[in-house]
Amino acid sequence: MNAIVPLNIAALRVSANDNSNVVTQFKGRTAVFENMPFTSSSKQASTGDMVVQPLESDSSPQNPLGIGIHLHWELPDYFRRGAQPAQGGDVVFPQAPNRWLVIRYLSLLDPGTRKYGDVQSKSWIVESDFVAPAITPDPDGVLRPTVSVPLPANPQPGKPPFMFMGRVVAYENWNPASEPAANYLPAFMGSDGKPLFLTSIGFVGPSFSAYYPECCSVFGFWDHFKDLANVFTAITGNNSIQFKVSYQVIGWIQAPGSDPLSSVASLVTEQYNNYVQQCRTENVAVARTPADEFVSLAVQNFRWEFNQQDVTFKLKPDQTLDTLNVPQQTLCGGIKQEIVWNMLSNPATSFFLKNPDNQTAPAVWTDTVELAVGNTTVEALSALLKRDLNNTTDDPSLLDNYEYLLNALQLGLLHDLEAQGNALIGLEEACHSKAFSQLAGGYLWTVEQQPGAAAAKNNPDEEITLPLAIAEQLHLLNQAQKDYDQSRAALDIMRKQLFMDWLRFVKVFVSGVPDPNVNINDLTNFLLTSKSGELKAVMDGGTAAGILLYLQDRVTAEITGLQEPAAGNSLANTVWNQFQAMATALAPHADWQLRAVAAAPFWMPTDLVLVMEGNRLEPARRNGPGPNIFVRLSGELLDSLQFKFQGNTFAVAAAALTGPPKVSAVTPMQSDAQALISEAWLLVPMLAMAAANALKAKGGAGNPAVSNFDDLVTSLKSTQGGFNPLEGGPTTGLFATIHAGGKAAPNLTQTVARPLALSVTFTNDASNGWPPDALAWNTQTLLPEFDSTRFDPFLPVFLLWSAQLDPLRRDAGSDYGAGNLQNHFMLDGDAVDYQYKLNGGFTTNVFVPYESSVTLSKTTTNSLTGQIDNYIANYPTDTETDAELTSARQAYQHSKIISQGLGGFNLEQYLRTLIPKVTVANLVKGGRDTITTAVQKAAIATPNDDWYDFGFNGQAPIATGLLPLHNFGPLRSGFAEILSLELVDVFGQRMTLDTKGTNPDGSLQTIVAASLKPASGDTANQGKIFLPPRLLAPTRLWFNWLSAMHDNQVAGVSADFVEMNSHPATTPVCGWVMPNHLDNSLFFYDAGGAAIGSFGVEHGDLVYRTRAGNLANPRSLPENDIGPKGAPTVNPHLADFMWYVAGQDATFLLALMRTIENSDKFINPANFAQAASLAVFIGRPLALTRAVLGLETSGNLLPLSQADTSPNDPFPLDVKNSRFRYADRQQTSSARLADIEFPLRLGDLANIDDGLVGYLIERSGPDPYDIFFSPAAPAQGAPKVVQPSPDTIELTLNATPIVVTMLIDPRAPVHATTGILPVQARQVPPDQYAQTVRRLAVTFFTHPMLSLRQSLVVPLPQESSYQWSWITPGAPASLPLLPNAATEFAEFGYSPQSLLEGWLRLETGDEPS
Amino acid sequence: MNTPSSRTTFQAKLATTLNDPAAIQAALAEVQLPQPLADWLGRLRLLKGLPFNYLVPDENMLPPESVRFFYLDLNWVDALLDGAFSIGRNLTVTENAPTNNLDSAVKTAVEQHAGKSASSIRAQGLGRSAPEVTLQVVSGFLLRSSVVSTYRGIGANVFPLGGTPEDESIQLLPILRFEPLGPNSDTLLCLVDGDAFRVDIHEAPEHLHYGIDKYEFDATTKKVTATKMIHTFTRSALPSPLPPRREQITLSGTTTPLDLSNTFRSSSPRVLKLAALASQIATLNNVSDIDSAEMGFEMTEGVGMVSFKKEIS
Repeated sequence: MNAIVPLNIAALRVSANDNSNVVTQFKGRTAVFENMPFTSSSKQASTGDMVVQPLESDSSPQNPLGIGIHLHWELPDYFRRGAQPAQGGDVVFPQAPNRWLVIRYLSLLDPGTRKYGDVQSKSWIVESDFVAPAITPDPDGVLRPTVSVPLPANPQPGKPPFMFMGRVVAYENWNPASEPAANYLPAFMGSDGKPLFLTSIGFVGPSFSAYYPECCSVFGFWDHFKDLANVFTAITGNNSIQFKVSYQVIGWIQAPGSDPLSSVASLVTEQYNNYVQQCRTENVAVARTPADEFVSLAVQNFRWEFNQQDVTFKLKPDQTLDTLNVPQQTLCGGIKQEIVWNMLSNPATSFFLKNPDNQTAPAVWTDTVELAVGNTTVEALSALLKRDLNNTTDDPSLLDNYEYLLNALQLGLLHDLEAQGNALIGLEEACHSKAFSQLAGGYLWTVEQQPGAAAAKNNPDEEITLPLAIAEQLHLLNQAQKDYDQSRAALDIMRKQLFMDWLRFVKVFVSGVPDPNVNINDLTNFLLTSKSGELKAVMDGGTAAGILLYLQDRVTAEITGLQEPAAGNSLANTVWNQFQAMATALAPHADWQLRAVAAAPFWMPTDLVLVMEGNRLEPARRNGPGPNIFVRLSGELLDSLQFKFQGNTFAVAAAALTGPPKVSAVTPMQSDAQALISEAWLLVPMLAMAAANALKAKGGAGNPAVSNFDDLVTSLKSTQGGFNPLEGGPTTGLFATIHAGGKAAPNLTQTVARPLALSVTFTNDASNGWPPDALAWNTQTLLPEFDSTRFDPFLPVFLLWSAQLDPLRRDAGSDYGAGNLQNHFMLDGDAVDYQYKLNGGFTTNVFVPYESSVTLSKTTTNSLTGQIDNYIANYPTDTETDAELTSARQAYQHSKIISQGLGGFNLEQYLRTLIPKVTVANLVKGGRDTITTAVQKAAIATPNDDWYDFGFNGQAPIATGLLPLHNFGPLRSGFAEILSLELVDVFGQRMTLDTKGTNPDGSLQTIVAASLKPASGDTANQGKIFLPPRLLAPTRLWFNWLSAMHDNQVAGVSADFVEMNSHPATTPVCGWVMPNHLDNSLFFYDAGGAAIGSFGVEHGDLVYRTRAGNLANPRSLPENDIGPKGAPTVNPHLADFMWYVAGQDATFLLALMRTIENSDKFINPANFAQAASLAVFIGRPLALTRAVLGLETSGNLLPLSQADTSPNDPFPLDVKNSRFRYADRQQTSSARLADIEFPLRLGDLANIDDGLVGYLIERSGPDPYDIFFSPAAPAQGAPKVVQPSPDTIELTLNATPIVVTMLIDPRAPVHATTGILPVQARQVPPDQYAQTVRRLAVTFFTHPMLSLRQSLVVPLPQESSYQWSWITPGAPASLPLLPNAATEFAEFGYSPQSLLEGWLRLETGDEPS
Repeated sequence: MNTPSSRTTFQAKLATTLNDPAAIQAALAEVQLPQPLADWLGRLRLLKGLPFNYLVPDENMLPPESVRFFYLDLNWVDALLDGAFSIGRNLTVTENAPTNNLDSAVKTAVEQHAGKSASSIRAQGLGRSAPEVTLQVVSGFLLRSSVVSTYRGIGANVFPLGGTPEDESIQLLPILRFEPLGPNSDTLLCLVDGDAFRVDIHEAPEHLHYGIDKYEFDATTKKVTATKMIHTFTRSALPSPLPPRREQITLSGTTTPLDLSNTFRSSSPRVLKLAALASQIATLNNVSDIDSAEMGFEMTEGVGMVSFKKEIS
């Protein structure tokens, strides 16, 4: 059994007139590897920029489209999605299908009778990965345009560094067995020595398989009709002709072992048997079947949805798998039917593709669009719809602001807005963080329960609170891993920089044209001397870092361990050693396992996103609207038609049809391919005659084919449907049913009334016949928005954009100043992002132009209607919102919208651009170029650490021109405008986009999302796009708990350690504080929950009182309870804090108490219900915790300016001064980005789910604390209890993190807001604080208390595992009290009673550990 | 960047709301108190679970065979409930601290719930619907007497001023609680909704019985001396054309002692000879015989009752 994956086919007709007048203005192939210089006479170096003809260029297209019909098939999404290997590096894509059977069915129109004649079939094979040194003619003698590829991967000087890929063979002559394997891509090795294979990105990128000029004869086919002389003559000679064609394309991977499904059976078996085993261990019934397992695996791995009921299996008596029948190979198939070539009249002056409105450039279409811009598609779409709905409210706090509502809807937060108090802030934070993209931050090791372990049943995903020694070991491992990850990231940056520096060198070296600012000898020495130079530094960096390979779980892809790296002293070795030590430490805990998860990512701002709405925009989501597609099993193909006519039933089997071309035995999956072809003959109207003939041959009474053949054919065609709108015909039938949306059903019946009342059921022998998915069965459609005669598609693939930016001014000349951010912007308490100050402008007032092209994302935006429908269905009672959403839905439903990020805009601001990744080589000078040779050698020298795998050759510097002259802007900000936009479609067709009006400077009018609007008072910049400040270096906030304790058992840990796991391995709580506002005292507990004593105000003085019943400290001296200063007997940080309080006066304590009380009203944790332990009894215990705060960039490095416009630019100066080490170089060449002070706001008073009460910034020395900062501090507080100002905490990039001590309500997280990064929150996991809170011993001062004559009886509730007792002042022992002892019963004999005062104490029965 | 929500505005709104109980109340939907909690508070309102030594600090204040009437100090009860509510509260001296305001905002609703629950506790036990109560004034009494432990079914009727049986219209005050404090206890607590003016404490109403007024037995002489006060009546026939005969009984309004000394069986001197008794009664009233209604009328005696009245000075 095999899988039949739907394939979408697009067809474009090119007439002779189109060919001569229109397609010449199309965009063409961009990858021109055949242009690579390789002869010694060349004056240009063999660098990546030589092999690209950018879309932006105005040159004539490479490979213009020839006369005929061009087919392009869109690869199924699975083949277009890559995955990054665990050790990092370039994304790896799956092997794509490399053989395609293309079948053409053609029928000529007889102009006299106006009837189509018999169908002629013709088949070809497209061999996608056929590679040849030269283009050879096809079987008809035509030289088809072919794509060039950079092969061999390690070219030799003087030898062509390119070959041509893809060819078309007549099917009848195709015999794969006789083709030498050496002619195909897998025979070639990549630069890393591994065999190459065909992928969706080829050697070009995502546009390779999506853009026909780039992949003709690979994922496309040009039908030039040379095989049919009459047709060929007519269409090339502009003679009158009309014919109709249908195409069927079937693709597969020739080597069965490379098929994505090849290992599915064994995976399912393994996974299912594991599951059965697990059920047995847990003693639960086996609920899932192997078919369930397969279906969910297919969705997870391929996003293919199969019909679970058609997957068959047999189980053994022990319920493990015996036999399993799942698909083993993949066939992609699609039909494009009923394409009409209508050149019967006026062929000499007719066109298929011309824009009749554009006389000067007939190939270029235009559209007037509404253009909205935002940080994300969500924002831009909301802004656009707000405009469409004529909603003008800008009040940010009102729900009738549609932009706000729609943002909430799209982020899934709409319903929570009313349900949760802090949802407004949640929405703001969500919008803000969506405007960042993540960059992997390496790995983090965690200890979890084994899935089978008993404890895992309760909390399967929860990390474990570890014993201290193991926690310390884990910290050492994670620290080593972090060092390694950062040094790998640094290596990546340094290698890329080396490549860019080499590019400059090799260009000068080959061309002989000197760089006016850089001496070539200096540059040579900069790159390489016998002992040093940049290359050496980079290689040393690689040696110091080493490379780790990770072990992954086969099924879940979780990282479970490491491969031992090669011996050495690299950071990889350190990780390995710590990993080994950790494994040893964990050995006694059989239930625990070590796993690596993604560490905190680095963040980069997303490129601006444009959302365009116009009549002619058709989002090219060719693989269906959703992420998943329905895939048929080969057993589900249609193979028969059941006719019902006047009560008689006739069945026609596809096998009985004469006409379908035969699939030969050399074709893999022969019978399934044959079944697919036969199925087409049941579906396509122009092939209906065959089924009608087969029916007729059956004869019999009441057979409509016998009685009324012509009408039967017409009726059958109507039940099939899918006619070309050019010819008209009913718009019903199976085709229409399937295209109506939603998943079809099996065995569909179609009924027609005329000319015969006939019903046809499309089914198969097993009565589980499913029709093909709508995306795989298409015909031509009319595009009336283009022209009344436009039937060819326009499927946008690229967006060409140009924009300009008035960038942020650098305050210190060409450098940033420390106050560069805060001088011009403010992060006030009202926001999570920056707004600029209106104090005279922060930009340079020089507009810098940017332009680039970007492959349109396939991400769907049209799920909004679905989201709205879902919302209304889920919350039908929310009538007010539902009504507003309904109007939004109506406005949106029929809109044609394309959304796309301005890819490259960020990159260009730090003076880089993408360049095709071509192997480093000097094909012109060869061995005479020692530097290139050395780089070339170094790049592939280390096993498993091939530089090419990490894309070191992917970026080129922007050294000269307007950009480096006016902006090196790693701190991105300013005002942007969009200047022009152009779409390019699958076949290279073009469309320029305009807005209704333009701004005075000629830029396009944009609807700007609220997050990017200039300040309302800034009249000069209205209509522009304000870019809030963002770092273009990948950065993360290092906000982590510090462990509350450490010991010296584990070598390497000598201080409290940073907890990198979101669930800290040990509790970060140093101690507890309990406020008593009734008598203004603050009670302290140690980390274990044992009472210490309290600070209070007595007679105007701050006084310390020991805990109740502590006779050992009669004078209430703090040192008796916590040890002398510097020699604490409790947690040292708790002692520091208590000594700090002890050193203050009553005013301080009163202000502190007031602050704590104030903060109470702003903290109302979302998870309050989880903390129903003792905390409920005793008020609000606050935890004293410590954390580190820092900002770090990926690799701890900053981007360098690549400018080379004058001798004083960074690059010339670096070369001149031999600053070849990156760390040295960034001191002078990163515009002093490291000087900028970034304020950080800790806690969030407005967010009721933020638990921060206040914090102290630690300094070194015996008295680490000075001022207690709290947003809830009284305005007129004590000098040392104050509200933080925006600059209280300032961080600089890659500086040593600062340490803060925080007083928090542990039930809620603490938020850290920087504006330049997403808000980050840290929380003490409930299991860690709840345990300690349970241990807090509490005393309640109680008076007066009536005591019976016999004994004291107090009405006390029973608290499970707690004990009550009574402490009498001065009494040596406490009196245990029984709960529930007091009753209302009148039992006399208790007089006389006495009055007591003292403390009631509640403490746990179990000893604090 | 324009923010979707202004934090300072939000903070200010939050602070304003929390500083004003009325504002909190306005922001809250109907306050729902879980039924078990309401019941618990309702019981507490009626002093259920209150240690007895707090109710009677010195037992000399309630000696044996005494009754003590009281008013319940509702402020005191409020304080009791407040104490129960104080769990988890941040005690503060600040008058408009959020926690206090939150308390006062929900106070009315909580009291309503608790009050409703209080009124229904006894009613539920008796299988009746809960009476309308105001809980504005709660009065009651503590009775310490052997009566409590020996007469298990004693009851009370409590009347307000102007609603006693002597007044034109009788009004009974709803009894909130009426129960001995503990099994076999001789102390009984009664709480009523309203200001009690007269309290009738009586035996269990189901103790209606036939009785005579005097009985003595001399063990040596084996002679019984017994009398019973008999209501005298006359019987006259009413005109009636057809049977049954209709008669009219007219009470004289006076009673006459009837000597029953010889109406007991000599073999078992505590057993009345009922036919002789009937005959004696008939004779006394000059009728030939009496029927069961007349017999019942003459012999039935009510339960014992003690009335306490408040002195109005």
